[in-house]
Amino acid sequence: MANFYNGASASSVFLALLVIGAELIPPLKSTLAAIFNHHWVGKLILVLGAFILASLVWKNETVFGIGSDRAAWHSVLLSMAAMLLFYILHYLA
Amino acid sequence: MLSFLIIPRDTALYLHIIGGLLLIVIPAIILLQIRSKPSWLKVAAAATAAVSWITLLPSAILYLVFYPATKTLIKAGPTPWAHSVVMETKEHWGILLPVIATLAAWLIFREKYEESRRWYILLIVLAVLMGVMGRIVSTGGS
Repeated sequence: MANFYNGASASSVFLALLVIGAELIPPLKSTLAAIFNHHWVGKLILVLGAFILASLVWKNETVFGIGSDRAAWHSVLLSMAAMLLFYILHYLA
Repeated sequence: MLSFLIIPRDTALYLHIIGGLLLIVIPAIILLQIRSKPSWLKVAAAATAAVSWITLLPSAILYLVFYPATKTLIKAGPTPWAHSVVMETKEHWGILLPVIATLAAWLIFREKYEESRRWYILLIVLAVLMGVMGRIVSTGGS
């Protein structure tokens, strides 16, 4: 049985890391663009692929000692907050 | 490479908006009916997840084919933050819509109705925010 909580945890954290990493490390952004024709397409395919893969493969009921439901909820909200905060700071810098 | 994506801008925009509205309306109906557990709840949950994935296509067409010209206008205008903050955040938050909708549908199919509630609320809030952010971006480009 799949665990979509873990897929949500993995993919949301991965998305935040990709977003911030691609802005701070230009070669990462250009590599994504070179492989997928556009960096956003690369992030979309990699993150949704990670969501499906992690959901099917990673079936643990806990993540670092906390329930996978709580881990997913906090991962998604914190990842969204991290992306917004990063773009605000990046614009102001 | 993107030539296969070319459809009229207005068609892509309408599909994008209709998809976004469905991601507000269907979850709202699910939340209103979740306590009575009607037989169609799983169909509605699956439909919401399907819409969230399908809507990625018109969204991608708008962003990849038609948005670059708008982006140039916004960045040269008085509100460059409309792209640098609002659009940049929107285009990446949007990737999480199918993640949230699929997770919520999975919970409905496992009959974990109470657990699914906060994910449908998050889906509605995110879809509404995407609409507001889209309006800010389009205003910045006009």
